[in-house]
Amino acid sequence: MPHRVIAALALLSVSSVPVVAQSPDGAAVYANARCFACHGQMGDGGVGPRLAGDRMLAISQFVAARVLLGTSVMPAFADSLKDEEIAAVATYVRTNWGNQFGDVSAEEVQATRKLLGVSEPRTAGTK
Amino acid sequence: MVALIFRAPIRLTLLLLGIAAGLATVGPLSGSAQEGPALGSPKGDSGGDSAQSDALSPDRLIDVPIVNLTPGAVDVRPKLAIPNLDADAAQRGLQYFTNFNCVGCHMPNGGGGMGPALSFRPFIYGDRPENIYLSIHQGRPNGMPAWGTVIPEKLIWDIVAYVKNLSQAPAQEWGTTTSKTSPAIEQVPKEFKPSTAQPWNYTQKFSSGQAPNP
Amino acid sequence: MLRSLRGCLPYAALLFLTAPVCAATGAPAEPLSPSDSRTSNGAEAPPAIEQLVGDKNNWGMAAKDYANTRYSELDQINAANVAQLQVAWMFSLGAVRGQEAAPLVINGVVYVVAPYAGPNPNQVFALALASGDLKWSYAPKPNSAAAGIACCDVVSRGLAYDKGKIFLNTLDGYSVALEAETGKELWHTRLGDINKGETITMAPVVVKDKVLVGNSGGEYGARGWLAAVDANSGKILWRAYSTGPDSEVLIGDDFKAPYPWMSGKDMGVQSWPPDKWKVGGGNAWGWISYDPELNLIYYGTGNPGAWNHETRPGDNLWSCAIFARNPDTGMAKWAYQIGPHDLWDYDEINENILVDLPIDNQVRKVLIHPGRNGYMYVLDRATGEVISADAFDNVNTISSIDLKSGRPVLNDSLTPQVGRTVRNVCPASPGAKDWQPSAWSPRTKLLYVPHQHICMNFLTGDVGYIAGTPYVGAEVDMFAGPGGYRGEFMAWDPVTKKKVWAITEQLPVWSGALVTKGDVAFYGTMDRWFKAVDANSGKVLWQFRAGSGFIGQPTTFAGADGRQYVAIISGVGGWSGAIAVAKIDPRVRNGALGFTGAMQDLPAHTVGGATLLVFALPTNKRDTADIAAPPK
Repeated sequence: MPHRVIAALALLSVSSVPVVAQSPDGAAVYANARCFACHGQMGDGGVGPRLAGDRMLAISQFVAARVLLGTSVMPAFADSLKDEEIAAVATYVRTNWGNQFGDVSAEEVQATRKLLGVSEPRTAGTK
Repeated sequence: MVALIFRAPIRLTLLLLGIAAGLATVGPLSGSAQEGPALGSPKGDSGGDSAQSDALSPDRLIDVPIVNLTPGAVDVRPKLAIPNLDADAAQRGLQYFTNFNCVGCHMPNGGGGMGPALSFRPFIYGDRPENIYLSIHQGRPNGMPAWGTVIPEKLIWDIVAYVKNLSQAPAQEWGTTTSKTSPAIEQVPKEFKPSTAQPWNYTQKFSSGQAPNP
Repeated sequence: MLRSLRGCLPYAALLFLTAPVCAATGAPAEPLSPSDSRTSNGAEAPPAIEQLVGDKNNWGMAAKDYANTRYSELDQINAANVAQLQVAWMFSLGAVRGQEAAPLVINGVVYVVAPYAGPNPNQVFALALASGDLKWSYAPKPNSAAAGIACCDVVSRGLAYDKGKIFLNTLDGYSVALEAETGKELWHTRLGDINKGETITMAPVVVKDKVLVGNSGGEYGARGWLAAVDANSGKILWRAYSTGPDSEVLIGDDFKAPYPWMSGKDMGVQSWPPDKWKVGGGNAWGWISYDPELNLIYYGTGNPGAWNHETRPGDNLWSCAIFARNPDTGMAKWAYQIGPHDLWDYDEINENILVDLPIDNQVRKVLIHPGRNGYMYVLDRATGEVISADAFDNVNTISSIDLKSGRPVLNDSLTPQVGRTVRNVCPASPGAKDWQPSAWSPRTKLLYVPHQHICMNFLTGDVGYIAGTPYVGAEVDMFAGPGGYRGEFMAWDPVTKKKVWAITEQLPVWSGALVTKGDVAFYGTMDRWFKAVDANSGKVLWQFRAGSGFIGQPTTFAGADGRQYVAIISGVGGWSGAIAVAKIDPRVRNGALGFTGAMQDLPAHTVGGATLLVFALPTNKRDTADIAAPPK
């Protein structure tokens, strides 16, 4: 598909580092995508549910799906976050505030996208 | 979803066309504000949904004056289609008022503390809905944070609906007399009634610093 | 400088002698002669704070001396003649918000700082004592958003002075040094960040060329700290946090906890749920005292973040605690947590007055700490062990302090629970006494304590942390305590542990106290009275009706003209008085973190002000030209 090629070229031209990209910082994604606004900066929740101590986060596919699709209240981030960024923020919420649920990889996020039939993001990253 | 098919330059053109269309036809927003599934990402996301909110897009809200002083003594206030700020919106707004810590500065029922009271008018930066919206979105001097890039637009309107209710005190006089006998009434304090989006519906005799009558 | 004074033990002298007998150069021999700080070659060197604390003619630091006694050796004004006290001159600070600052006087110049309001927030003024002439003023660069991060009005509790420099804290987090003679800015150092909910309201204290500064922000989840800034360069020398690992709290091998439940590694992390210590509060926004013999500074820490205690199971060390630290390194020697797992916002930043008291046939080196929680603590200031703790007001949250374990015995029926209103909690969150400082007289051996008498209803709720916004989670409603009065000025005997006399006031007594060798104690009321009372009997001897209520600190000093002056700034505000100066609705009780409920009639008594008042006895001459004469 032409637009995939353009997107790939855009990514390459934008980045000035080798093709192996640095993994994004999960805390930075949590801030820039405004997760903190609804889930709180300590995972206490607010408009959104509490993340600290939430055992559902133990299921990595669940976390990836939530971030990709959102809910009736939570926005969907499939378009605005890349797999690496979703992996980073999923890892962040699973390994902070007392949560010890382990990493999530970009490959897992990619697999979840496929499972859900959700396309790649058009944009190159968060705002 | 439609936007996904297009490449970036075409999408931008569509966006601009959408805004222009919105400017030409002010009005038919109320429907779209009530329906719609997700709240949408916070402003700044260049997704394709901007066409829905063009009547309230930044270049119209920016025309809203926050003061009552317009040179020429002409009313040039833009006609905006404000979303329906009904009781349901105010109920949601009550929840967000707590969740986003508005209550921390403005206090329960908007009584005032670190931030000014919202329980009586005038608000110094304007008390029309669009003024309240902009104060929340942009922040204000002396300590009001700028929430516009943090809270989605629809939620801010819900908060506006709630905030409007906070200052609906029973009208006594145009000004405010303070004395040993005035004010004569106070709100029933928050710990003695369920959370309500209409706190001025519950009043009792002024307690003058003594324990409130439960 | 300090060594040369060792021989006369000026600090002990304050307690037991009526006149310091010093071998130091230039000590005043006659009452009221001006301080003479000449160096050996005769040149006038600007005085050091170590000298000023023992100099009765000056008031060199907010708390008067390192022991924080607020006691003056001056007795020209005394119980017999104070009824004649009258205004010598006034000065308007121009910024109409709460006036909490203590007027300092060094060698005939008065130094005050205004609140963070008006066109020049935190403006500093230097005035000639004899004439009231304005010598200079200084306005720091303002950041108006800081006003929204101050929990309890935009106050400043005062300045500090040492060797020709004036030190200022700005609300938005800067420590600033000025040349005392000219007001010229020497350096400014940023210590706090309002985006993290940090502000600074406390009066700095200078110890051994280090400016000690602590932050505010417990209502914003701002992690508390005390920093030492080099007085000459403005560089940060050390910063001791109140929560977190030992390496950041500056707890090392030299540290010994007075009770086993505070011992262990990294208790500032262990006593919190994961990561919660990062938003743990424990702010050092109150008073700092210093014992030069033990080489220890003493200060208390504030409430843990959030008020809703269910967000932070654990003891929440080291919030609501008194620290003893080495001022050179910041390393803690001991710490005693008065309020483990605080339930009520009982900050414990109140003053620690250093006194040597006869207890059980021994003279003990103690500190007296009027607790926010309503208990008067006497601690061994070398170890932190509690010698006694007795309720000085109506308290139902804590039934006693267990001297064996050092822990408060709580009334469990009043423990807050999300969604359930707890009623008639006494004392209310501002405690039986808040920051307003008491004074100690070595003559009467009594502590003069301004305080409040209020209770509250308390309802906690869920809260999420968002930096720069409040992290509270409680809805509060305060009201007058039993008896219907809301304030009291009392004399307390720390040895018999009893109230000796008390004057009740209809409003909280939110001003500081002052007591003198003339056996007069001074305090101000929120309904605009500045009062002088007999230090022995409590009889009101004189009172003056000012323009606005009082929440400030009275100080006293002498001029080159041979007159003793008493000064205080009039201007209501602060947490208790914010309703009279800010846009707060008296009809909505839960406002002002609950204080609206107890103060909703305050605007019927007073609104804001900003006036420095300087009082003195009338001169002998009828002609008042002396007062208006230009300074020498």
